[in-house]
Amino acid sequence: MPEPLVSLVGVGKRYEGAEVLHEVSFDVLPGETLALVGPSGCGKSTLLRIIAGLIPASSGEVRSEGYLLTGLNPATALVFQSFALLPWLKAAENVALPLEARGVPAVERLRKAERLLDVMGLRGHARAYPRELSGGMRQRVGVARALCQDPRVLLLDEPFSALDVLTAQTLRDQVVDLLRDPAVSTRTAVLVTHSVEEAVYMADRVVAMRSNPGRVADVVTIDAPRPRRWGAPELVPFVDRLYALMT
Amino acid sequence: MRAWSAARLRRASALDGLAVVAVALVVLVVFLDEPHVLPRTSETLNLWPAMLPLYAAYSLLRMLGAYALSLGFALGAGYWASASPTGRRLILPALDVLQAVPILGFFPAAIFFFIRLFHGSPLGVEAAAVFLIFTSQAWNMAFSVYESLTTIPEDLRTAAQVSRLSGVVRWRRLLLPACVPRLVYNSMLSWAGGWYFLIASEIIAVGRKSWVLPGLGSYIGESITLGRHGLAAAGLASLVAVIVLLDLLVWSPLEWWSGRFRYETSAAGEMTAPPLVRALLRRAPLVRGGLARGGRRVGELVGRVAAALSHALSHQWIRPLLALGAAGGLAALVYGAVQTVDVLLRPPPPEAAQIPVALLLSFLRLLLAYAISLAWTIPLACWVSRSARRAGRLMPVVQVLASVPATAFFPVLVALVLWLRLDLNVSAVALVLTGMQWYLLFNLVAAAQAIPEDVRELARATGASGFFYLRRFFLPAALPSLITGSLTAWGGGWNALVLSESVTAAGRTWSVKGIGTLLDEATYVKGDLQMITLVIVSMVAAVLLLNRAVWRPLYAWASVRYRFDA
Amino acid sequence: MKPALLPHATVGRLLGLIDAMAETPGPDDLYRLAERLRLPLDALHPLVQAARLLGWARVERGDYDLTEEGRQVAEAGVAQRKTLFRKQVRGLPLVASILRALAAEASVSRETVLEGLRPQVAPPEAERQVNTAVDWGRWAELFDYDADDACFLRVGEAGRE
Repeated sequence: MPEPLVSLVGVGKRYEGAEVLHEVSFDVLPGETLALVGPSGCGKSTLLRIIAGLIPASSGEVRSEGYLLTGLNPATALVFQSFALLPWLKAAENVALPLEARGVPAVERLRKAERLLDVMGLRGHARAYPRELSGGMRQRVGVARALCQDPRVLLLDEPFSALDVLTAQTLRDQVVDLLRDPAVSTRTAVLVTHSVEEAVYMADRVVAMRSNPGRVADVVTIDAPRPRRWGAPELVPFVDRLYALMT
Repeated sequence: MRAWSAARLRRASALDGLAVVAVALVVLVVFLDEPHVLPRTSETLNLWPAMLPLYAAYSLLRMLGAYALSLGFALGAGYWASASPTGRRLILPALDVLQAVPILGFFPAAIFFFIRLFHGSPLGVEAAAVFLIFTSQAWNMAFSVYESLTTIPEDLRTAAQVSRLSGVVRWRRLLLPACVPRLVYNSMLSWAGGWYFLIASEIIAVGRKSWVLPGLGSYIGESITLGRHGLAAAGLASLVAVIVLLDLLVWSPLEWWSGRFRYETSAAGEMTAPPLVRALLRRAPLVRGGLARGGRRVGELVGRVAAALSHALSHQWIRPLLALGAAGGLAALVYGAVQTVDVLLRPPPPEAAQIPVALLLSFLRLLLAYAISLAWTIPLACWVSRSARRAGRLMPVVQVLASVPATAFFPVLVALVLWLRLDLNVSAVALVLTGMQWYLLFNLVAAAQAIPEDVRELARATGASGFFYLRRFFLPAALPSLITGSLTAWGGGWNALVLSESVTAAGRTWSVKGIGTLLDEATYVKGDLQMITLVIVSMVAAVLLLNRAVWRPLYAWASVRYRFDA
Repeated sequence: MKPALLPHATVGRLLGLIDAMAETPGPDDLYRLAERLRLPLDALHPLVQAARLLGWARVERGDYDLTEEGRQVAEAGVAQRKTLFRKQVRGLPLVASILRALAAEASVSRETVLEGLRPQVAPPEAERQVNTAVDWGRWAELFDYDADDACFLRVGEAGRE
């Protein structure tokens, strides 16, 4: 059994006295895509931020690569629902931001940024400002920025919910391929989504959550073969099972 | 780092050369003459018109110095208020009070600290003038920095955090850019305010003693006092020329550039065409490269300083130092407070009894001026709001008009009113108007521009026009800005009162009964510190009361009810 | 529709459409496609026009069908898609005129391109045409565009600063 990249044991979170998360425990195994699904208010985004080290857990343990997490998780990077690109920086500069923070000189960091943009298919847009890009392209820049940190685990917070159907589907496939791309070192991802279909389409295992308070109902393994087809009949039993668990 | 290679020099064009020559000339002229300070009584300022360019340069330098200080203060105070709860509790109320103090209120401080401390030397007086201009710029800008920093979208902040942005890079890439749009806007307003009070800043007087600095403001002021109207007109024309030039060369490009830093996600094509200067700059690649690099260096430098300071703030050993500084500041404050209380507790001079009535009269004048301002700014802004293009065409004109200091025209207005045999109150109200209306207009037009395009289309589609459009579309959209603008306008009005209620023209002083006249007399005529303090305290109290009781609650109510949320 | 004008379609969504079309082999109903994609017909229209313009789909009486090249695009990886896209796009009038101008000068201002469109199109539409050209040209890596200077640049020469 491989050593989990991230492991949560009895993680709980309280906000102003109210319990948002209760006794959450699961592992993120190397090479897998893990999805967190649940109704709104189940605390899945909060959980993702706890894994990222942005928020401390109120109780329980979070380990990253075996070490107890205190502060920002050095092994993860985050992709935002709203893309969160700095509007005054060009795409390549946005992607290079984590490297700039680390003091990497301009030529080197921009070269890496352009390489990652190329992986996302946006090489020609390296010098575009976010406002010149469509939603799908902005999210690709967001993904490239996250990958620029060479994270062991890519964290995605409802990354496709701000995109239209066409764009979202293309991007989903791209992310799935990305995690197997030799040009990219990241192989593991945690995806938060409110769409059960999306979770079943993309993930190897799905953590089904319930709300009031947020807790894990069960973890379902999706052993359907890849490549998967959206809405394919072989995926339906998984979708049904997850809906049942969540309600 | 790119070296000055021969290839780049070859790319330089005639326009580059011209620019270099122009800059060299300005530097030469400015440093040719030593500024000198003369007391008012003797033969005063050299009013020879040929001195005007030199005086213009001096005034400009003073404004620049004050602006640099204001910027530094604004970034520091604004950041501290946004980053720490203690900071916020200390700074915001302090800024509130400081903003309420009229510029004349700072004269005693200016004189005591700068002039007396430097024993009346030229340096001291210049410092005093720069300080006075600083007080008309700094508080507003500090507020805008605070607002900019606290309104950075949450996900951008988180993204920066996850990318481990800190120190210099955080300042350069996140904090400073976030401040740019509001800072540019506020800088333009601050400079307009600075020009407005230029005359007051360059002729510093308390009672019998006065100090006159060579500059455009003093030139105009002296000419008017001496009744030399032709010279005054020449001075005014120079001032207008400087303002227009600044607008063309500095503010318009800056405004265009600041558009890059807004959070809107509109498409690329909607950026307005680059201004004339940019087209020119494209033909002067050396200057442009130099400007770009210079700009980056400055940004880098500011970022470094800011980062170093904010880093130092978090260090352990800085705490005792800060405590010491705070103790020193506190001691000064306590001393000042004790003095003030002492002054307040002394048996008040007989004139003090006039304060309440004077305050009421001034308030009524402000109210009238406010009503008049609303009466013309709302329809104009409403008309502008119907089309996104109108604002773009109107604004440059309005900006220049607003920057031209009406204070220079005051004697003319008073003369006109006297000639028409109208009550002096008419001129007082009209003069106060000039200190109020532009703030209203700017805020209203900004709101007009911010109306979402689909709302405009809805109005067009439903044939909404005239009063109906005003009531249902424009006013709700503009209400928060109207209130912010009103708050600022009243602040400007209180400040303008001092210059509007008592005007000196052709050797005589014309005044109406009011708080501004009281302060004017106490400062310029009697030099009575006690009276000055009493008047200022009552003015500040009135302003703060109005803010707390009227504007703040109104704004809170309006911003919740009337918002275009996507 | 005048053949000279570009439809208002972004590359991302155009490719998404091709992928969606490829899911059903053979001719099918446009209306059903719109339903499946949950797109209103008028949002679908420019994308379909773009697919037609590039020769990737045939549209006849409400039915669509992918052409041979369209199928190639659907099955290809990103690099191959760019090649196919580039081949079609460089022949389009607006793009071709920009490329011609760039062959003569290292940078071509947005104004110049807009002026070139002036006789045919009204200003707001011209702006949109240029924006689409920028998007397509960038993706095809035929040229680049600098928003600060509002000018088109040859690939690889952008943003020295």
